[in-house]
Amino acid sequence: MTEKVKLTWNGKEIEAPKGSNLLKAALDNGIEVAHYCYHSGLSVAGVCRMCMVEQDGVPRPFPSCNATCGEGMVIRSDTPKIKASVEATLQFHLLNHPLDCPVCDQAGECGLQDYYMKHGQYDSQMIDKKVHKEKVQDIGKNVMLDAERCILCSRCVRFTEEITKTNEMGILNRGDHAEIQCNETLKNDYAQNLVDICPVGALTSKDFRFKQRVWFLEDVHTTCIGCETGCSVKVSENKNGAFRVKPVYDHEVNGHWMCDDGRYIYKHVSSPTRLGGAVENINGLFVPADELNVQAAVKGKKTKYILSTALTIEEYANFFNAVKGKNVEVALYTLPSDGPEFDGILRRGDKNPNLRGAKAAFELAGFDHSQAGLDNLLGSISSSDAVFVVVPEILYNEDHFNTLIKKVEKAGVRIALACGETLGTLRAFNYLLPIPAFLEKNGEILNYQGQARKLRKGMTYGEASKDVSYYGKWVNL
Amino acid sequence: MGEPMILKADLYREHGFLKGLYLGLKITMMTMIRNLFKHDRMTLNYPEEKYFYSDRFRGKHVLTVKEDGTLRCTSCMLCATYCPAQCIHIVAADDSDKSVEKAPVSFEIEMLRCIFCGYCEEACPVDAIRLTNEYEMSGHAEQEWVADHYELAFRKSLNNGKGVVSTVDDKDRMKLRL
Repeated sequence: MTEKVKLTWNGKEIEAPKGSNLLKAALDNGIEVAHYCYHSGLSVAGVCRMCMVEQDGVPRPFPSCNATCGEGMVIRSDTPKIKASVEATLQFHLLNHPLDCPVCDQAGECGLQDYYMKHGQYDSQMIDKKVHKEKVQDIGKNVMLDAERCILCSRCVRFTEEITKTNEMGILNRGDHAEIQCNETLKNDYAQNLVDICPVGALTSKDFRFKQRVWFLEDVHTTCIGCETGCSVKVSENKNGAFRVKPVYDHEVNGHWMCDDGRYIYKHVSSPTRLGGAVENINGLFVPADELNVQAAVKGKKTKYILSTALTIEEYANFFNAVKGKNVEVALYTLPSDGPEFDGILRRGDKNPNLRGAKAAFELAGFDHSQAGLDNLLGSISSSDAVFVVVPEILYNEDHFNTLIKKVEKAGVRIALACGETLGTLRAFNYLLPIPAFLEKNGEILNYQGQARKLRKGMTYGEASKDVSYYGKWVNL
Repeated sequence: MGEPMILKADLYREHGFLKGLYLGLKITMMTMIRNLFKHDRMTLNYPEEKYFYSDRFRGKHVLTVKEDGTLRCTSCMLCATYCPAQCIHIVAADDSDKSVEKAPVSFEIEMLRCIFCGYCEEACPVDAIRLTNEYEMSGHAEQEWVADHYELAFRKSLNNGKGVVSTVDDKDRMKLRL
């Protein structure tokens, strides 16, 4: 245990570990202090000079991000001296800012807008012409750079230096002409974190570019189902669809960051080709069908189920309850690993988000979850069978899934339970039935640590009520 | 409620019945005689004669254009955000010109929903939308009442289809280095 010290901030007593960061102590205790360059996941730079504070007995203000907590410190950040200092600093930050908020995607969640309203509200004293730098630079990995909007907080430079260790970003030139530049293009797999940590609109996402204004969006705090890490994320969405994924701080799993693959997990949820209701495959054309027709087709057939690993613990439990005591074969399809097992930061090769939950549920219900179990099921398929295949929510490896589909083709009735986009490969099935996507259900999944991660329900774009257990009741009708 | 309005009139209260009657009729007769000989009467033979509203009238919207004829709108969505009737629908996209950066590919106003409050005009940071003194609108189906940006910017009544030029252009702004 580290030793705790007591200090006073604007008259409020706070407690913090001895020698820890002074600004972090304030932020952790709910005290708002203006800051741009400080980020608790990165090293301290102390370049923005926004977090100035005064201490009793110290003659001059100093930046709190570069100070440490000591016993009995009396800190003030609301004195006239500090207010004047923050306002003056903000004026300097905004000297050459192009003020193109109408076209900037950061508007609405921009540090400059927030702090101008809070600490600025001055009239510009600038009489010279603004220095112009290069706008609209595509620096790769879906990141756009606008050097003009940058306030040189150096968060992005420190991120590529400390977290990804790829050193693509740097500050070039001096004085007015200093600007952020990228060495050729971004090459790391965590590049879009730059967009999140940029406090202004200098680095914006190309994927999200001009899609929506941020004030039209609502965040749903859920879990990434891209791989078995299970990062804590928030999905921004409104009635028109889901638009972006951002990481949420979680010190046990992902810290502040998430990988670039996880940024695209929302795409299928509100895709225009998303399955809306039951459809029947008539000579390669998908035509809306009645569920009763599908039920009639299944009737009298021996039912076999192939589940995916992207369902929640609750869904597995409900499904096995629904098929309990019925004559049914169940197997588990696991996606093959993609890339190295662990890249050293967050991304894992195992693309099965709830493999542990699935295995536990299979064992509890007495079914075989191994590859041999799946091979057995596939080998025994005959024309008197009805096979239900739960399509993996995010299909990383379509070829691997196609080999599974080939083996299923012998069955009399083939039914796919899908929540992703209606792919061409699904033409091998007789019927497609909709199931809820990860953003449309509450539940838990077990990540690689065996830790339960929560999925939360946002808006509904496809199907929310009919999950796998609903179709499980159709067995032996 | 039940009180006859005529008894409340000031003319009767102040001048008594006979004089009040005379004064009232005087106004009526004067107006009639004026209307007989001078043609500045209030009734118009609409639609042959049309009333001209002042420029401050809030009628049909216009989207202003730049000098090169493209839309001034940067699709910042402030009008759509501010609109109390939620009748403005904008789809934004990248513009190939880096000094413009963002431009609308579609700008639609649902005229039936619009309450002509003029908040969009107030919210616009670049003088891209204005309300004109055009008050004649008609249509049958609901779709006819959704005005797209061709109609809003380039309809016949606006400089014969050339559009209204906004006060400050992007080029002016870049030149001034504002």
